[in-house]
Amino acid sequence: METKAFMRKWDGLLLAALLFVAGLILLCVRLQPKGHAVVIERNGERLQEIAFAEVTNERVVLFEGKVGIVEVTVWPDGAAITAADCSDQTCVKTGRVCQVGEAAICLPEQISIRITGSGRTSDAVTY
Amino acid sequence: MKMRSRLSDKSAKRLTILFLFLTAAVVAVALLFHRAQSCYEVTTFSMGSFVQQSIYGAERETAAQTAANEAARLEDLISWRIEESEINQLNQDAGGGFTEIDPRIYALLEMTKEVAQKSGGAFDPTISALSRLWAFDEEKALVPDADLIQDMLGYVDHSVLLLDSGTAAIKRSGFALDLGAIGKGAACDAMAAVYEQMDISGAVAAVGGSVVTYGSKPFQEQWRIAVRDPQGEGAIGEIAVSGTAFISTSGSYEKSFEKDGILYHHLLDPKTGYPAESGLVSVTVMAESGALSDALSTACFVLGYQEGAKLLASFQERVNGAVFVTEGMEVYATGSMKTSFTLYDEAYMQMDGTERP
Repeated sequence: METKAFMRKWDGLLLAALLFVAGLILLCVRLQPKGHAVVIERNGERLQEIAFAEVTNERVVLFEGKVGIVEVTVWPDGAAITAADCSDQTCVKTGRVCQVGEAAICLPEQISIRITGSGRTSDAVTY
Repeated sequence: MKMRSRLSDKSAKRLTILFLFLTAAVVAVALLFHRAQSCYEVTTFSMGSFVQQSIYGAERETAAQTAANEAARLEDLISWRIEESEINQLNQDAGGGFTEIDPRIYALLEMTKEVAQKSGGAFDPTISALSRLWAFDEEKALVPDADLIQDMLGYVDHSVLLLDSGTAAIKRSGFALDLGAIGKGAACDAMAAVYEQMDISGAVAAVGGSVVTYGSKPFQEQWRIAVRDPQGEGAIGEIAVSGTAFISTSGSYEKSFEKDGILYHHLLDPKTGYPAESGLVSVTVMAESGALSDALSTACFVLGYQEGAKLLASFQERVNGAVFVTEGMEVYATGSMKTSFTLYDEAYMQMDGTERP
């Protein structure tokens, strides 16, 4: 009786080629720039991450801060703390943040919003 | 089919091995990118400011949490507002005898005394009487009475702070320490000490406007630290650094208020009791420690460019360099900043002969 080889030369070659293509796809995905998003944190705790691609017009989200409520508004090209119960309102005065690495911070409420993604211009700001 | 018949068993085997080899190489590169780019970012709060960390390496999350805790622990030791803090205890005991203090606080006090002496009192750790009077942190936006300022000037003198073998004392009652000017820089030091103990490849942390860089970025890129525009939005330029560096800035824009057309900022001159008028709007100093860079940036702001540069020179290799920005939008870079700082805001003029990019 004639026995068939389990994997003929073409099967092995095809499998290796497919693996190679899969590897290439993995590399492409890895090298692709990450989409921009806004990360909202309360003293180190990540409350929410909203990708700008998800936002079509405007999205308003409320967060509970240390002493009151903080209102964060996200647009397709940026985000801002638009209202807060804090006394100084520095976070609201910061206005819209849109560049990677930029942040608006509410010290009394301990809430921060930060833009993440690739294409960051600097690692930190000294002031 | 023709090709199939042309391909010998040997060639097919070779081609298969080649594909497998290429696959392994591609996957390895993808994994390398993944590992290198895995950065943990987190924002916490300490020293009356935010603490933002970006950390690369295996223990990045643990390192970030430990470092944030250390910054908070340091605040508990040096904030005069915290009842049990070492500094508040020293202030309470002013006029009394020596007390044993935490070695880290002792080292910080030694440094503040050195900067106070070398700067001729332009930086003074006993500025508490004045800083509480102006209360910039409370945002009262009130100019204190001139007579009151004169009275309080009598309670600012770093020579009352005595240090002896791990113990400290304030020799006259009524005097008090306020280390607010170095808190953020000192927190950077505490965090850098944590990074050194952990299995991480690189980190950058900002405590408010004081920055520490540690290790290296993926693919050995330099850390890029932007210097804020003192008179507007965004940055005026960037400092490129490798490895561990401590950078602090003192700027008149940070805490200020306007009254009757006059801008009052929080950088008080211990000699006059009023906000310093040295012709500068910001000074950025890079030094061997965060606390030193913080203290020196404050002293340089009060002294002005010429005297500030002389002060930095007296610290020799403990200071890397500085960037002075004047009210006239002139920028002076000294030491290593002559090469590591790049000015890119066209509204400012670089004055030290370094060409624009």
